[in-house]
Amino acid sequence: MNYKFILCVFCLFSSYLMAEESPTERYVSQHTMTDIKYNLRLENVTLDHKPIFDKAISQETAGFVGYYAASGKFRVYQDLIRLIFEEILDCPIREDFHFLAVPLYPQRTIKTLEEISQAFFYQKAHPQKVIEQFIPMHLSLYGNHNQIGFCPAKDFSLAAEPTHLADLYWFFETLEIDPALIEEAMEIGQNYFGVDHRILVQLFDPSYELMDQNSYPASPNGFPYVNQAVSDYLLKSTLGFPPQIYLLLHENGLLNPASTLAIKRYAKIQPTKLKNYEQELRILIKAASYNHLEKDLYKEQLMQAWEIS
Amino acid sequence: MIKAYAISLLCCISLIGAEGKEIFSLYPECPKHEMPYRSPSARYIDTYGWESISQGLKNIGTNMIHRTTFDRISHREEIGFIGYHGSTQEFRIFQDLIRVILEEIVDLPIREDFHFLRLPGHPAFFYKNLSEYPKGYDPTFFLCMNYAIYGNHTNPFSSSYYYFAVNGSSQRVIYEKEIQWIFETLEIETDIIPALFALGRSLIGHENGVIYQIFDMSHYDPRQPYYALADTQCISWGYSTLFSKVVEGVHPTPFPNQIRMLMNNHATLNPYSSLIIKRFDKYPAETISSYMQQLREAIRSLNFSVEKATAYRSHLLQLWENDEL
Repeated sequence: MNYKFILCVFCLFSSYLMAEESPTERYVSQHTMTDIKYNLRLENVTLDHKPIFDKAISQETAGFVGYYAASGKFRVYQDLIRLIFEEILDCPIREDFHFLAVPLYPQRTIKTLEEISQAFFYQKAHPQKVIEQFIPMHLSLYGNHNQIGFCPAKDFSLAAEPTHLADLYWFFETLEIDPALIEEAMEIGQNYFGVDHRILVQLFDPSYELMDQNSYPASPNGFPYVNQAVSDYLLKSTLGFPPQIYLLLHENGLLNPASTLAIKRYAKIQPTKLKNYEQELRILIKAASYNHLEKDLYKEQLMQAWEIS
Repeated sequence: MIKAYAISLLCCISLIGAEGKEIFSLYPECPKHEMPYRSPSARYIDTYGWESISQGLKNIGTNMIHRTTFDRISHREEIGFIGYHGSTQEFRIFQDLIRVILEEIVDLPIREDFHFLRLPGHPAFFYKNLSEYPKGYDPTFFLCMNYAIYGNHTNPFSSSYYYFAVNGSSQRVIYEKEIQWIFETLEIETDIIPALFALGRSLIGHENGVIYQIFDMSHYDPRQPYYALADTQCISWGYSTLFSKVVEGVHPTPFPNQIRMLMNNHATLNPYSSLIIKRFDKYPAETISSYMQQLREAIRSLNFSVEKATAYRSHLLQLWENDEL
């Protein structure tokens, strides 16, 4: 009886901790802010962006799964995909969804978690070639502050180059849109936000089901770290943090706006500037010429992939 | 009270059943690797003490002025860490030119945490591992490292700290001449090389050198033991045991000698390998970013043979993707 009572008290305490601390808060409690600051300084990272970080951390509520961060190029990249969907493919995209990559990109061949395990363990694929298909994420904003691996706070602060942009060029070429518009769009972004613009992407999946089917705990070079679902780390604080997470990008998962994925984006931008930038980018895409047949073909393939009749 | 008891019981059940949700149906058996490990720099400092290290550095003509930076660097030592190598800004320019040429001309993106320590694909670097390498020591084929960040603090010829502090190197290599091979391979005019180095020198300072922190993260593949690559490529001078044994936390701590890592196209000059090479200096991020951008623009403007670039690319991929060591 005594044993059960102690166990119950422990469980109540654990559930209290889980309810009270979000992943980043838990990470900070574990490492302390002093240690985080001290270590990030080596990479030329100061916490100048802490107000943005604190705002994002306060939003780590139910369904929160993790962060990705990059330079402002990633914002323009995401916005261009959305605008092509809205203005050319006539597919409105909900406001809290942003594409993490271009759907149907043929170089992205890995479609299931099983194929990841096959690639690494049975086909001896080179890690670098496999991870080119994914994007990294960490459950905590300050994750890997003191060790090798993807650290969202660092990549945000240093405005790191986005992991991939090649698929955007493929998208433009497929629809026969002048790829020079990509450079033009990047310049528009730079004109509004400056060269050192950056973006913090916060991902949510209310049921964790989508995330468990499309992400895996990984070592920094992509090898599966453990055969365990990402949600386990979010629900059981005792597990700590995996080195990082890799997100599998395919049309039936995270690249489907009808999925449960929701994304919040953070950056230091004045709302009026943001509105003007969005308008200018929309005008650019609206005026772009494209091949109608290719557009129809792409849309048809996409609808099939999304299983929308 | 009953309600609280019921909730806690539910929590209890959920936690007891916390075996985890498996996500891969095909997942190999991975042996549990264990190895006693403690940061070599911490062990070194414990053994010699700050006073002796500081005095030793003074005796060889430098001081502890870089301690803050070096403490931060050594704080990053984790299992997989091999050692430190200090060198010159000239070596850095050599490395960055190789990176930019590969990225801009050969169309091979190179990960940020990898740097070329010699010319990749050069026919001289064909020994796949230490057992293939003939006996004897030739600095062309080896990179010398310290186990600890203040290693050999009394010997300027073997101290990474010293080389960083004085922007020096034990090797008197003329990198402008050394890099010619890659230019010739791609049929780029070699006359431009001095101007490229001069551009690099004008954009970064030369008050201090660079320090490399090198890791072998073979164990990122959960089937591999710690230091699987290092054991075939690194020799611990003065010891006949495997590198992984020397670096173990239980081994006597002073690390008096050097680590020598074989330079070869298959493993250590291979960005697809498990090596992680971090490079540190004391310049602000903006300085480095502007320097890299200008170097990149200069390389982009060069004429080269597309045919030769394609052939070099295939050659490198063939070497890098063949991981039989």
